Amino acid sequence: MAIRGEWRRTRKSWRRSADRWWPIARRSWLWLISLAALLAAYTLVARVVARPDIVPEPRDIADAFRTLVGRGVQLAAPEGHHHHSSDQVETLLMQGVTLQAALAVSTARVLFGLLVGVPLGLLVGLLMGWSRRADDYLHPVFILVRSVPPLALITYIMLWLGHSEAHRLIPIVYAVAVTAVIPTYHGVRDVAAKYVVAARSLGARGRLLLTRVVLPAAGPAVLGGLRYSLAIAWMTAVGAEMLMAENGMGNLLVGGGMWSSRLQTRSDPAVIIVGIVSLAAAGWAMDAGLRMLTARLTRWVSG
Amino acid sequence: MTSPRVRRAVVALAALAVLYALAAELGHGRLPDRIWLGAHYVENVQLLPTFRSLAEEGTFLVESRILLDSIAVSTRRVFLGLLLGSAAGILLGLLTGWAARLEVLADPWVTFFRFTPALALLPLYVVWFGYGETSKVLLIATNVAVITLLGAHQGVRGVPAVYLDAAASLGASRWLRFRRVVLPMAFPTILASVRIAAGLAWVTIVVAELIDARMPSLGYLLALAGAYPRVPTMLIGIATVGALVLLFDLLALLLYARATRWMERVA
Amino acid sequence: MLEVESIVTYRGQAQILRQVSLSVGERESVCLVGRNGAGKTTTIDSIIGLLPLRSGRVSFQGREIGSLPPHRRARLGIGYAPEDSGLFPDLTVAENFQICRWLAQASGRAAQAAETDERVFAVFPEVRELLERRGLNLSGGQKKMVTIARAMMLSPSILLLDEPFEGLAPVVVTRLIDAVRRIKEMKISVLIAESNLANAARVADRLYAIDRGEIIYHGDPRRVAENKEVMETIRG
Repeated sequence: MAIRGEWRRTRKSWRRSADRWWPIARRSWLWLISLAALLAAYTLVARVVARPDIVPEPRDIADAFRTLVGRGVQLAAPEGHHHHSSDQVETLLMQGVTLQAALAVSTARVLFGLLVGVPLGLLVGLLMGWSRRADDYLHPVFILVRSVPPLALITYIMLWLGHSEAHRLIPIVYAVAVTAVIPTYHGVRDVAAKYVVAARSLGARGRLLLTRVVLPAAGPAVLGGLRYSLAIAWMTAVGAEMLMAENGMGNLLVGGGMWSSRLQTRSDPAVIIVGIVSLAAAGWAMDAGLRMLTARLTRWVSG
Repeated sequence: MTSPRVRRAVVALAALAVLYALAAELGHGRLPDRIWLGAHYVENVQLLPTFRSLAEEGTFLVESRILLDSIAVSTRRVFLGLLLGSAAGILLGLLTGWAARLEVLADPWVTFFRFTPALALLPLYVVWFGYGETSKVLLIATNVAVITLLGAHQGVRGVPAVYLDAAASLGASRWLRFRRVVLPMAFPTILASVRIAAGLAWVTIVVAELIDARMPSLGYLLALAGAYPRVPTMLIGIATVGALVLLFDLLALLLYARATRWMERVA
Repeated sequence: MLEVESIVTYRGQAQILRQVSLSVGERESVCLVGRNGAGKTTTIDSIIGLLPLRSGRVSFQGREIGSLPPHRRARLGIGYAPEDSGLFPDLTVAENFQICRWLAQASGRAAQAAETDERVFAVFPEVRELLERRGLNLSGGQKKMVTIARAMMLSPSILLLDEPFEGLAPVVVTRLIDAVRRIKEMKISVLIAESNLANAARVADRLYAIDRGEIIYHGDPRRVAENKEVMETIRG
C-alpha cells in the first residue's frame, strides 16, 4: 500500500522520513550529485563570465594545482595544455613554494598550537570550574583576555620578539587556549558538579575524585569543544601566515613575499582556489580524525 | 553590591592594572627602546607605555577623531556582515533542518564553507570584488552565515518529537507545527550561534583590515601603529577592539535573555 | 464510530501489531489492556496517525482515515492525550490551552470557545486553579488532567488516552476515572490504553486484551478474570 507523506518518529528528535528512506548509499549518491552540480554550475559561470583572471576555468585550476605541486616541472601534462603561469605563481615558484610544503608547514603550526594551547586552556578551565574562588578572581580577567582577537596582538608581539617563529605561534596558542577554556569550564562546573556531589558522599576525595569522576564526566564536553579549537587554530594560523610569514598556506594565498610587497603581486584566483580547497580538505581531514579520536576515547572511558 | 563575587572581580582587575603600572614604571628605564624592525632600527619605542602616556595618546586619538572614525567604520562593517550573514544563515539553516531533502542537497556546500578558514576566502573575495567595503562585509557575512546555519539547523533538529506529535494531534499542519513549535524552541540555539558568530566576525574584520589596510578603520590604526611603531596607539587600538567585542557580546547576551523571555510569553 | 480492521504496524524494522482489530462505539469507553511492550501505544499511535499502517484499515465515522496525516485526523474529531503528556513545559497551562484554541480556530472546529471551556472545566474543575502554572511545575496527576483537558478543547468525538493512570496515586486515579465517566456523558467516546487491569475494569464498558501485537480477548471487563490464560499474559 503506497502511503504518501509517511513519517516516523524516533525517541530523541523528530526526523523526517527522509532519514529512514535514504539509506547511507543513497545519501552519498545525492551528495556526489550535488557536488557535480556545483562543479557544473561553476564551469558554466566561468564560461559565461569569460574572464579567466577573475573566474578561472576548472582547467586552469587543475593546471595551477599541478604547477604548485610539482614546483613548476612539467608533470605529465596532456598534449597542448599550456603551462599555467601568472604573477602569483611566479613569485611563489621563485621562493620555492610548493603546495605540499605550505600545507605541511601550516599543519605543523596548527598542531603545535593545539599541543600547547589545549593543555593550557584545560588547566585554566579546570581551575575555574573547580574552585569558586578561583573562578571569581579569574573569570573577569578571562573575559578581558578572550575579548581581544589574538591576531590583533600580532604587531605588538612582533616588537618584543621580532620576526620569529615564536611571534607567529603565540597567537595560535593563545587562540586555542582561550577556546579550550570555556567548554572545560562548563564541563567541570555544570556536568561534573552533579557527579562530584554524589561521589563525595561516597567518600571520594582529591585526586581520585579528579581522575575518576570529574575527567570522565567533563570529558565529552571538552572533546566537543576541541573541534571548535581546531577550527580556530586553523583560522589563526592562516591569518598569521597571511600577515607575517614567508611560508605556509596563508602565505601561498596572498602571493608570497613579505608584508608590504604583498599587495603588489597580482593575485591569481586559480592559485587561491587551489589553496582554499586544500585548506578545506585538510581541515575536514583533521576534524574527521578528531571525531574518530573522540569516539574512541568516550567509548574507552564509559566502558 | 558587596557580594564576594563582585569584590573578588574588582580585586582581580585592580591587581591587573597595578601590575601593569608597576611593569611599565620598571620597564621605563630598563627595556630597550631601540628595536630592530627587519630593515632598520627604530628609536624611542616604549614597549610598555605608562598609563600616563596611554592617556595622552588616547586623548589625542579621540580629539583628532581618528579613533572614533575608525570605530565607526569597523563597527559598521561588522554590523552589516552580521545582519546579512545571520539572515541568510538562519533562513538556510531552518530550511535544511526542516526539509531533509534540502539538507542533503546543501550539504557539500555547507561542509566546504565550514572547513575553510574564513580568512582564506579574503584573497578570493578581493579578486572578485576588489579591495574595499564589499569584500570585507561579504567575508564576515559568509563566516556568520555558516555559523548561524549550523546553529539554526541544530535548533530545528533538537526539538523533541513529543511536542511535534502533540501539536499534530491537536490539529496543527506542517506549517503550523513549524511556526508554533519548532521556531520558538529553536530560538535559543539560534541566538547562541549568533553570539558566537559576532565574536568571530570581529576576529575576521581585524585581520581583513590589517591586510587590506586603508583609512579609516581599526585594522588600519593597528597597522599604522605597527609601522612606525607607536606602541601607545597600538595598545589603545587593541583595547578598543577588545571593548567592542565585549560590547557586542553583551548585546548578544541581552538579546538572548530578552528573546527567550519573550518567546515564553508568546505561546 | 471508530473501526480498526486488521492493522499491521511496524516500528522501524520490527513488526509490533499483527492484524489488530477493535471498535469503539458512541458513548462508549473501551479499554485496551496489556503489559508493557504488547502494542498498546503502537495501536493508539496508528489510530491517530503517528505511525503509518502497513496494511489494514482505520475508519472513523464511516470514513477511512488510514492515509490522512495526524493533524487531519485530529481535525475530524479524534482527540489524543499521549503517555508523556507533551505539555509545553515553558508555557503556562492557560497558554497550552491557548495554542489549542488557536489551532481549533485555524482548523475550523472553533465551536464556541467559551462553551468548550465550560465543558472542560465541568469535567476538571481543579484545572481552573492551575491556569497560571507552568507546565513543569505540575504534579503527575495535574499534568494528566491538563493533557486530557487540552485534547478536549478541540471538541473531539473520541478521545484516545495513552496510559492516563500511570504513576498516579489511587485517589487521583479514582478522580480520573470519574472524569472519564463525565466525558462519556458529554457524548465523547473514550479509548484507553492501560496496563493495570484493575483500573481498566473500573472504567471500561468493553475490554480488549492485547499481547505481542495480537488481540487475545474481547468482552466484558468483569468477566476477564475468569479467563486464566489471558490473566497470566496480562499480569506478565
